[in-house]
Amino acid sequence: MRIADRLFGPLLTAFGLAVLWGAAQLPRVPGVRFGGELMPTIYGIALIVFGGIIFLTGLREGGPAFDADEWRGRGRAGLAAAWSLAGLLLGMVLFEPLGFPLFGLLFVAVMMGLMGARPLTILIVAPVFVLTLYLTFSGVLRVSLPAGPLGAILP
Amino acid sequence: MSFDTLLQAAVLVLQFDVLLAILGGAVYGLFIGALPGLTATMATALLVPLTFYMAPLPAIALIVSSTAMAITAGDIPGALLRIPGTPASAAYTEESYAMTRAGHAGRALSIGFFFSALGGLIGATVLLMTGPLLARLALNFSSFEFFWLALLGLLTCALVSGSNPVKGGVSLAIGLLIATVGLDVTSGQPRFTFGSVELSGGVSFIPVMIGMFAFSEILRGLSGIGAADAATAATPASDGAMRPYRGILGLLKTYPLSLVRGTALGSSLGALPGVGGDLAAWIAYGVSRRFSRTPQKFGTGHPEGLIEATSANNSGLSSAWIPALVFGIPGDAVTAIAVGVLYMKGVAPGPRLFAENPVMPTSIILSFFVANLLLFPLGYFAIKAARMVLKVPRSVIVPMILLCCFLGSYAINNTLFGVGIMLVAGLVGYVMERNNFPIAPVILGLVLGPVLERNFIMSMQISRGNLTGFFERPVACGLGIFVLIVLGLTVWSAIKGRRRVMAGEPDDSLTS
Repeated sequence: MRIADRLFGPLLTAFGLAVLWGAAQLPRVPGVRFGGELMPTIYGIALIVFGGIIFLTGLREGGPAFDADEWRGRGRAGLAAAWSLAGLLLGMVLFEPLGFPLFGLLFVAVMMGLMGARPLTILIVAPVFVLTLYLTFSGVLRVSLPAGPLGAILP
Repeated sequence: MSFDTLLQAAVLVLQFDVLLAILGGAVYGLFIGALPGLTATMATALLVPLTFYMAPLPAIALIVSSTAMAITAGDIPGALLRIPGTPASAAYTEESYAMTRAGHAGRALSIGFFFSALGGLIGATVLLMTGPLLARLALNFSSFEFFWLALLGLLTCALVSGSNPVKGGVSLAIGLLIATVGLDVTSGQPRFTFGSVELSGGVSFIPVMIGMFAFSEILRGLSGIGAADAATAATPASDGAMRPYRGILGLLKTYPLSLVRGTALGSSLGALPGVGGDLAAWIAYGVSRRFSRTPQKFGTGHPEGLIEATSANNSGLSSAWIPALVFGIPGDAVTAIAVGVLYMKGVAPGPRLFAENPVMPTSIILSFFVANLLLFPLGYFAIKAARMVLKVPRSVIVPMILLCCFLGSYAINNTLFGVGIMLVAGLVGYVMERNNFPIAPVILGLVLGPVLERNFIMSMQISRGNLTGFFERPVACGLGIFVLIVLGLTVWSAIKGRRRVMAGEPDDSLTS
């Protein structure tokens, strides 16, 4: 996703202005001369200035203001990218009810399938990898991971 | 320190239980460090319950060796998968990953282990010889010196990370801005939290680091704009290059100055509480590029900066123990845990410990030597094992990395909020890289943002808002002038480059 500098510059300037506005809204502590608003204000000003420079230097650039050509005609790879995002978002929702082992299995198997792995490879690698990861983090490193419905049979 | 003390300490360290603790800690550290998302701090924290049942010296030796190994092993996912294990290794992840993509993964890992071990050994020597002196100097630093040092590290990173300093500045401002989220360091008021309880604790750098480096790289690879990933880079030619430490002595002969400068920077900066170790690697990489005869090669898998930064990383790790051992003031989370363990064992670190029981601190320092010596053989096996990672097909390794990204972001606080941060950071990182904004300054801005703010606000309060106060102390004045010169030179070379571009000449400033 390429955004031309002549468009990116004003976006950064607008972001910097939003930061300045946000910093101005922060509550002031009586008697404190240099409070929590000071640094965000400096960073906001920096973003405004940098945005202006990027806009000015980008004016000489040609080409479209916006393009996402890299995703055109990507087929299964595009689907895999979409699943990498959607699958992990889904994982945030299903993590507790499904548990890490089942979610991990679903995510890895679908992703491997979309990336062109052979069914036999998926059948062997996905469960072994997910189970190893679960047992390592949950058993050895004591990271609290939900086991979900498999809790009855997993340690 | 007398020879007798040194001899007694050596006898203590060479006891079977201490050596076993060092070996066990090193293997454990290698395992934790190589897992994306797991940090040396986490490794140390997980060891604390085990130290309950150990004598003081094996307990600390266990922590020392696991930390040294975890930090060095953090370079493995950085070089192979572009997931830096620590903020320090993020300084040179791009370089080592570029080397892997060029089919030289073995060389990248060999440099990591070999020069980390050398840096660690030199750092331990410095700790042994000049520890008290350096700590006394660092303790004299006020908020003014720390502010300039933090600013120097941030600027160096922003200016050397990409071809366009302005875009580097934008990345840095974004990182610093993210660091302001959470409770304000001066008043304790919530800032930019939007009513979220999770945001009150600030944005952890681990999920941001995983998202920006790993998730965004996977998106780039899938979109077709990223270079071939580590797995596809494993050509038959690179198989031969996976021989551990092959040609490493040649590199040592070619770049001796990088090793000396890196360890000198690491040893001196590492002693500064709070900022030392991480900052040393970033500054070392920046300095290496600045003074290199071939700066245009940086970022393409060039060993020079990698040698300097990785040496600085481990020598800084050793000297980070100076304030902890000599004055009992831990500078980072790892040494804080270690100091806690020492107190638990009835050993109070500080100047009195050196005076009353010098064998104990000397033994701890000697355990650094053994731990760093172990890096050579364990690194050999780690590099051999890494060969297997490179042979895994892309369709298998990418889903595995993604699940590790999920788990690493979750495990840092046991909350899914970290996963959300990782995904957002990944998307932002993807857009930034696609538009030539470097992402390394975002990470350093996030890590050093609170240090910069705390020291800036404190200095402003001391000087009552008078900026000349930042130049009144001799060391602060020297550092301030150096920062201004770096800034001035950058602006000057950017303007010169711009004029050349407008005149139709090639722009040197973009490559220097």
